[in-house]
Amino acid sequence: MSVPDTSCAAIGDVWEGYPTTAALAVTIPAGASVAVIAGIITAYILGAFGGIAAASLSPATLIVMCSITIAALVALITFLELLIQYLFQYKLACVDGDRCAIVKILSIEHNEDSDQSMNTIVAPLSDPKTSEAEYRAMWQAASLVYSDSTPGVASRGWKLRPESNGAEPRFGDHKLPLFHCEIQGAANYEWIKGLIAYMVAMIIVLAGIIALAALGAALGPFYYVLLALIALLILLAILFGIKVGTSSTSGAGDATSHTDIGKATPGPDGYVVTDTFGRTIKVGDHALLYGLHVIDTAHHKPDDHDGVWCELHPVRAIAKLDQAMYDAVSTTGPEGVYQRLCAAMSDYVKRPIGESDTGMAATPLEHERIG
Amino acid sequence: MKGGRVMRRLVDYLKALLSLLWALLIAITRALTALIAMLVRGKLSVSEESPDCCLRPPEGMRPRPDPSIYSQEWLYLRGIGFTWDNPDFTLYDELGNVVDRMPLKPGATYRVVVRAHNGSLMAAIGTTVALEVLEFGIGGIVVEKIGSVTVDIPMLGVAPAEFLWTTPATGGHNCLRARLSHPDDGNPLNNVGQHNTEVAKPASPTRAAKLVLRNAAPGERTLRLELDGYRLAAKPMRPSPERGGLARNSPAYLRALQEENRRSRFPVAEALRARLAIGAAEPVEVAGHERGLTVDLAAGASVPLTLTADPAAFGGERQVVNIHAFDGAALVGGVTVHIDPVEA
Repeated sequence: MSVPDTSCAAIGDVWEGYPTTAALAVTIPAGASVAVIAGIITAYILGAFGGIAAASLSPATLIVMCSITIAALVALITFLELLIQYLFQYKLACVDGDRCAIVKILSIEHNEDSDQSMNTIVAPLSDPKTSEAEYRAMWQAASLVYSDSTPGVASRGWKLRPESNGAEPRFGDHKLPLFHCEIQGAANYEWIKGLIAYMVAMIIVLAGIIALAALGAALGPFYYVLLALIALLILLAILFGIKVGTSSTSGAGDATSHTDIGKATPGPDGYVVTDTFGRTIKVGDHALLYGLHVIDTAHHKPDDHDGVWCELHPVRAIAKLDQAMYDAVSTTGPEGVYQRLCAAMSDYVKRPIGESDTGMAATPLEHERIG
Repeated sequence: MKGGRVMRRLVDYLKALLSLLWALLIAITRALTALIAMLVRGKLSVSEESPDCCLRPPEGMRPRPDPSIYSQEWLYLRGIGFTWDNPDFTLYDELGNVVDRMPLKPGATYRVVVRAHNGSLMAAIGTTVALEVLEFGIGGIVVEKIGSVTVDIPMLGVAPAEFLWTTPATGGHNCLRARLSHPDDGNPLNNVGQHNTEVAKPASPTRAAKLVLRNAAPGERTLRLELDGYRLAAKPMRPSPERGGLARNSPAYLRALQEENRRSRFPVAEALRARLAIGAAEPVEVAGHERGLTVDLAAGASVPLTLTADPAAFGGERQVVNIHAFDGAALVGGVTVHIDPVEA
């Protein structure tokens, strides 16, 4: 299952339909992780099955219990659809679409929702004595960290405050705010969509049980066929548990290099990974990031003075750079090394997959003079 | 009547049994699911790596360029034959004419163009290409660093790196070595290529090619010399899965490449009767790479090698003799000698 396309229209285009507050956010218990929510839902479903099992000695009680469970499942599905809508459409308000950023990574966080975050400073910032006014005047900082949407978020009652991003450590003597960038984990989306699909299947099964219970009440011994169906239901529940327990959380870390180099071998007999630098991104690395430039509205709270901030979310691609390139980024505009790097990354991200894959497939493996 | 009563009791018994089974199943299911939920929570909240230091982005999110050059060491590691007449090096004289390999004029300025490749879908922006001159021979030391240039190599493309090189006033032969480097290189093992050639023109019926075998390692080594006649194919293989051929990354394609370029398929032409002399010793005929000669060299020591061959037949094509040196399984270096046919 793929992650939904989160490319966004400029916020001004959808402003009218946008929630005036992060209304949907408050329906999610503060601090609740996806794991906890999933655990509650799973426990609820299994509890309902227990109730159905207990009620199965009588066709009438079975019909009542199944009906209650169906109603509860419909309510849960509605909630989950709202959750998806919130998480993947409204939580992250688009600023200006996909953007490129040349950064230095100061800290890394692994979030419970399977997202992975990087807190960064943007090039060419390096002097710890740099004031916020000086940083704000740098082109990358101005257009990524301090940029507002059109119309501005203040028109929705939100406060754009980059410093309200609590990422630590902040940079330099003046505690400059960090630029937050997140790799979207697939776990949330897969969990929620998987749960919805499972619940729909359960509603169908429960409806069948109701029909057969009614039939069984009329036919007597035929009722025991129901018991077999309920056993099937329990079996499905077990399978669900097994599926969940063995499912991948996000796919992160499972992949090999996209350059195909990960499959290269330094010997004639066997495949050995040769990319000695590895795919790993570390704190302190200089990097080229490419992703959706958004304002994370989930942190707005109407009743206090908290703010919202800009970030790249989801990050679509990451490449490592050396410090010389980071230092060479202009403070005045998107030119020079920034332009070259970002054009390359944009070409990579936006490449037509089919054609490029075909191009790669026809490319010599070793050298054009060998094959 | 009695039968009906027994039947009812049997049914009651079955109901009780089924109820018990249900309860058991539910208990097992709940325990199992609780356990799995715990595991899932653990997987979601605990990274496989240290949470504070690093992360491994998912597939497709970590494009890495692969700058490369025709690299003898890499090809050797891949089990593919190779030549020291590097196809990625081109030398131009002051008039812009392509120079046909070494030797070069002393004190003359040449333009050296090194072709840097990129085998990735991510452009290799800011690839550094450094060029240096080595003494002619095998395991030679660096005698001059010409410099380095930075190039951007497009995805699946090639970029030229240009250098100006003024040859030593004293003349003589030299080897060229190019090194590519990039901070995010997906495969750093294919970044060094050497261009070590000599042309033996048959001004006399036999003409010797002289070179130096040096042990630049800190300890004594036993070096093994092997010869072959490998040369690049006029029409190289290509992956062609859409035409029923082999896919680029399939083991079968690599095997086919290895077979097509196997060194033992390219023995030194017998008509040349190639002979190798180590130091002042008598020349030894070495036909085929499987029959190598060994040389013991102390740290930093060197010994002259002399390759002699009968001239290629009149009207024939230029012949090739590759001399490779190995330390055990490791490639130390080599030279390609071209034997021109007898002139009319």
